[in-house]
Amino acid sequence: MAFWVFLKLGGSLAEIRNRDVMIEFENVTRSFGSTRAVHDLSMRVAQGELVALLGESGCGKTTCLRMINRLIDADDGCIRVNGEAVTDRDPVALRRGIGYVIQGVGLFPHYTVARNIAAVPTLLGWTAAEVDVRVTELLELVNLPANQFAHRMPNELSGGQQQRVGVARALAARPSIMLMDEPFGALDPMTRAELQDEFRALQQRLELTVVMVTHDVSEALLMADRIAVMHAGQLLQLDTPHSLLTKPANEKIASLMAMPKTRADRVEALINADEP
Amino acid sequence: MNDAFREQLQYLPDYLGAHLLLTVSALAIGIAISLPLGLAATRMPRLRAPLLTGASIIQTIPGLALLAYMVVLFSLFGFAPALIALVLYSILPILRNTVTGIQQVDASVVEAARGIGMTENQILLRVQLPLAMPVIIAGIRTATVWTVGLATIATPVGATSLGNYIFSGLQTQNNVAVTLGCFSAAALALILDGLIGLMEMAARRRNPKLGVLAVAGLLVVVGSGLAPQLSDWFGGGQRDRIIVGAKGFTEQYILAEVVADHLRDAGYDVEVRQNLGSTVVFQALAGNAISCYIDYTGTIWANHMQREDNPGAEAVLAQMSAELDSEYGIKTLGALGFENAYALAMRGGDARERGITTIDDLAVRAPNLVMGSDYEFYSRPEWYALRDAYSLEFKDKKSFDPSLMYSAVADSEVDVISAFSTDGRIAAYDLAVLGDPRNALPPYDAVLFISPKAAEDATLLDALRPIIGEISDDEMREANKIVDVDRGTVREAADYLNEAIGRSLN
Repeated sequence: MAFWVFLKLGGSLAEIRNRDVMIEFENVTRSFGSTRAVHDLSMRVAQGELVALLGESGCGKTTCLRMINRLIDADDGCIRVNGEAVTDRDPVALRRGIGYVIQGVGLFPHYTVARNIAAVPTLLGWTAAEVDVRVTELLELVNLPANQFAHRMPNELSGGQQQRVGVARALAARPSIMLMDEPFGALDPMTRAELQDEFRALQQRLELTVVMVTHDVSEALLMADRIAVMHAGQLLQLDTPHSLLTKPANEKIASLMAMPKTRADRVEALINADEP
Repeated sequence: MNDAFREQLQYLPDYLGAHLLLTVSALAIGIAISLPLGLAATRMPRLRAPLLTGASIIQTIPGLALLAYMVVLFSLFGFAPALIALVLYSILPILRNTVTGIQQVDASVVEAARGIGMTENQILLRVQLPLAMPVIIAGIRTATVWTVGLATIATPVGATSLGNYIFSGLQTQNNVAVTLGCFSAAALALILDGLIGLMEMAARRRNPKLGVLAVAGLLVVVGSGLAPQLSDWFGGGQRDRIIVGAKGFTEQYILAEVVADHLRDAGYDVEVRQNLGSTVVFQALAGNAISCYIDYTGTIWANHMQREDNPGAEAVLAQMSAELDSEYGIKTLGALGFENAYALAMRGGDARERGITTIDDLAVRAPNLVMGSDYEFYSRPEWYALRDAYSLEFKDKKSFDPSLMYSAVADSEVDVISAFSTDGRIAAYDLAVLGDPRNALPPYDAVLFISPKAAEDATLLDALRPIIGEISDDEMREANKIVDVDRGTVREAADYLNEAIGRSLN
């Protein structure tokens, strides 16, 4: 039951729509050779909104994400960040203003935790004092006490701790947008649930605009304000978790969305079953 | 510590210093070439295959052949051809490890670096290069060990190295010299390998203290090894130095010392460069890289002038002198007085038993006999002339190091050898020298050649004239015997010759 109650807390759709548009896809197409990874895709992400890109492997969700910070450029169509076409911006400067978190974490193994978090501020030319203050602040923010963790090397951290550092690194230069590619995918279920909740709280507190790629339906349902369901390079439906569950556009989306509940029901059945 | 060891040890600072200088310069240039090439290959994947294939092909060329190419292609002598060859050899391991090291960097780390807004150069310098460093250092380490080893065979192209011990020691059967050369080269390789290994470990563990320790160790080893070379440079020791060349056998070592003694008496600063290849030494003379050396008329006649006729000793000397002068500006100061001819020799008892006194007699028995020779004889024009003149057809032909040839025939491993007529071992092993009634072999009078530049120095020519025409066959044979049979030193043999020709010691 708690599952359904949580969904209602996501905020109403109307409220989100009234906010400023932060990221906009307009008829975006991208092919790799003869494979069409993304086809004529349009969508808008509002300021402070967390949108999950959901779909199976190869559906084009990661390509969409990587086109936002120009790790990949679109063949056709336009992507705007803060009203400005990304192709008008220098990719390096664009990326420094957008947080980026990936599944493998990608921490620099030869840097301490502190230096990893300081990476972007250093690139931006902050002073050492500014960087120090910010690193301490960020470590506290992701619940890793600076005096314990600042000088450790990444290989001395658990997977969950590494991902917290990854989030801290992405937040270092106070970006208003964060891109996440299956950020919690490699974590054990307990740590994953803990980090999902913590990150969602953090995102709402900092009013971050987040686009997050995931293939985990529960993760999308429990974290996102809205979910973009993708298949074969196309956007099938973009809506709140509640609407997707109650008013799926087609049978395929209905069965996809129903999956966490179906499995939860089976677990419940195990609880209710008599001991053999 | 015995005398033989002490005598050899005095050369160690020079040989080791020269060896280190060669190795370290080659590695420095090798790194300067391979590292940027490796980085270019990671940026432009299309370059990768051709670059690595090219470096691999160089690696398959045998070391000695590569060195010889440098001499033939670029007419270089001494340090330069050895350096180029070693640089070429060092490229593959460094290039390959740079490429692999960078490829091995976790893709997600590079992806993250790009994603947070590092430029391609920043990704390379701050992420890929530091993470690839242990692998790159491992490549440098491999190159170092190869280069130290290969530098020992740079001796025949005129570069001084620890190989001088090995080449001379093998020729004069001086085991102390051979052992000292091998041991020093191995020790140098192990020490450098260990120190660079320490650097690799420092990079792997990201331990700067260990890295500083390794670099300090390297500086101490290289610095102390190079000290004699450096003091030479800064002391201006290289100024006006006369270099006496010598090929790689005992007689040449002794004569070079005799020549050097006469030049020193005249106040010259002299260095003897031994163990040079036949082609190398001649080219070095023509190019003024050395000032003088001794060769044999028949060798120049057959090899450089490609002549197969035999007009007699005087005509050969006269025509050869004229041609070398007009073609290269090389001055033939004169014949030393003795002849060191190629001559076929057999065990004395064997020859008497079979009644063989000339090559004509030998030709009849040849199909049942085994011939032994040095490495180059079968490919020299003299052999073709001899074979054709007497229709020689042996049961088998073997090649030996010249110093082993004599014991091979004495121990009946072969029946006939192409001996050198002045070799002391002919008498010592009771070998019979066979007559050449058809005059198939040219005369081999020893002559002193002076380089075009040195030929302008009248004082130098005057200093060397006392040697001309003064050394008899018997005296040369006795001098060779002192080293090859009695196991004396080259110095002792040179002193004997000096005395025999009446060098006035002052």
